[in-house]
Amino acid sequence: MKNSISKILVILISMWFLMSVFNVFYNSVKSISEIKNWAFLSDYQKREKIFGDLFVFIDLINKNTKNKSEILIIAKDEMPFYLSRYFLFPKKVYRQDSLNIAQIDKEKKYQYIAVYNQEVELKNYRQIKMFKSENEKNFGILFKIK
Amino acid sequence: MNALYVVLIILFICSIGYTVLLGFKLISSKDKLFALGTSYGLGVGLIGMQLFIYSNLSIPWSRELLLIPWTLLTVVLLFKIHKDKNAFAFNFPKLKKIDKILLLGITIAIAYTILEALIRPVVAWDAWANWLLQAKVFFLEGRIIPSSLNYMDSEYPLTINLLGTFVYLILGKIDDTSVLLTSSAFYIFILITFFAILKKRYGVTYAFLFTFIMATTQNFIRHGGRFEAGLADMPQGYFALLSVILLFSYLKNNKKNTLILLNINLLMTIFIKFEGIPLSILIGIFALFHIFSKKLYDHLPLFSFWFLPFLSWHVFRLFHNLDNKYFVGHHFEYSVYKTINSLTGTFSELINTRSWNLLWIIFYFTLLTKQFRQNKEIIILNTIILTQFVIYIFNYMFTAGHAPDSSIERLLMHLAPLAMLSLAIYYVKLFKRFNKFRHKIFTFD
Repeated sequence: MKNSISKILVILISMWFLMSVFNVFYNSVKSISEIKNWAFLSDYQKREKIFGDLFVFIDLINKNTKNKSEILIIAKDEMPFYLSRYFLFPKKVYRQDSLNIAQIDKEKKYQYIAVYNQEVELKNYRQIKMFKSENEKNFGILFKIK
Repeated sequence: MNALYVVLIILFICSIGYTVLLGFKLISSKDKLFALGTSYGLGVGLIGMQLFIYSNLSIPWSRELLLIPWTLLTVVLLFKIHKDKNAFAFNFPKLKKIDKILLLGITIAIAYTILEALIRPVVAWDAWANWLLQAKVFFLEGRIIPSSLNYMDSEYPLTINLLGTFVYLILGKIDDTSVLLTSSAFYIFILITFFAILKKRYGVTYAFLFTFIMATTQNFIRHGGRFEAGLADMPQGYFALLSVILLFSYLKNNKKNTLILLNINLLMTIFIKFEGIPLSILIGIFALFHIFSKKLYDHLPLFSFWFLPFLSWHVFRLFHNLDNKYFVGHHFEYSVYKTINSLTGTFSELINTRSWNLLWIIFYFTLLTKQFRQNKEIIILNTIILTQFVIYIFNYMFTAGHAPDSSIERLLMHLAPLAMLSLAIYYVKLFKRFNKFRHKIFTFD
């Protein structure tokens, strides 16, 4: 019993060793394709490749908002908020937990409202920029307070 | 060019750690390789402490004010230790053919990890949503502003964020690609530490074999440079590994200096993520148990190296009225679905050979054997690993907002270096027996 367990353990570690050797070869080959796919892209292109249309929209927000402004992000999921908070700082980015759009519109608390993949109507904000992805799957609108 | 500067910054951080370790005799100069492995972690802790203290005392984070004190300290300590011929004389052992092949494999793995770190900007969600966001904010604001911590929903200790901040400050700009080299450095220094401890105990070839196995495990590579670079989970594993190795040293030598360094590393384990708290307490309990069993009561005050800074961080949070959203957001919640999901999600990660090769399969298999209960060090290691593991599963089962799908792969990284060490100790006996067997076959031939 003891011997058979020992044998199994030696076989397992040998298999692990072989997997490790395979990983070395796999990674070596992969590094060629990684260089081909990434090394010649600009920083902007790399980020677009990683984050997709959302990054393009965040870049549009960045270019069309004033420094240190306060921006509300409205989106269905959390990623637009977290990603724009990272890329847009020192501009402050907020999200609304309860999506009462009419209330947000009425309060006029934020200088800008950025809406991603959602349709909203705002009375006290005017649309200043619009983004639509090439395949028209994703879209975003940037509003500024009137 | 920035990457080269970041490499120099990492070397600077190491040199601080290395000279402090040898200058204050926290590690014997005979254990240079282990000192080298430990140096990065200590350096990271020291620069984090420096930035935190400067910020609280309103001392500007200028390059000169940050670098000059460490340079002076390093020079003074170098002067102190220069007579010790052991301190800087690295004797490279004569390598066998198999050692050279394994070393080549390790080098390729490291080179690939560094390439991956440098080829694209930060990708991992938590890296940009938390760790590097704070590094960016601290850099742009020039200090730690408590209201900004609330803005970032930040409750984790600041070690990893401040490491990023330090890199940006010395670079003079934000570069969220080059900064990922700090993750590669954690990967490299885990390997150095692991190799050092195995080499000292079991010889060069055995150390190379297990270091090779560790270096080529895909999840280590992912956290060191691929998509998970920039996260704090590998540093968490690194400090847990250091703490356990120092615990083992302390159990053998009963030296105060070892206990001081152990406590510094226990502190660092807590100062990375919340998950470090139970890890640190567990390891600390073993040290306390040893102190009481050997009646080394004068060693007890040394735990202040661990306890006081940890307390000061909480005083800082309390003083500045910082939010406590983490524990409020993860309140008690239980359902049968959550329980099943916790168990199946965790189990499927344990058998995920693409991430872990056979690490967790072999680890759990060894628990069925007798030796698991015979070796004191393996008992300690496995108690720590299993207790922490159970905590993670209970966390998934009983708290809201936690599920293994998105995090178990990262949480296992805290324990993976410990599991590797447990297996390396475990396999020694087996390999010795195997060697005898091989020898018989050889003579038969």
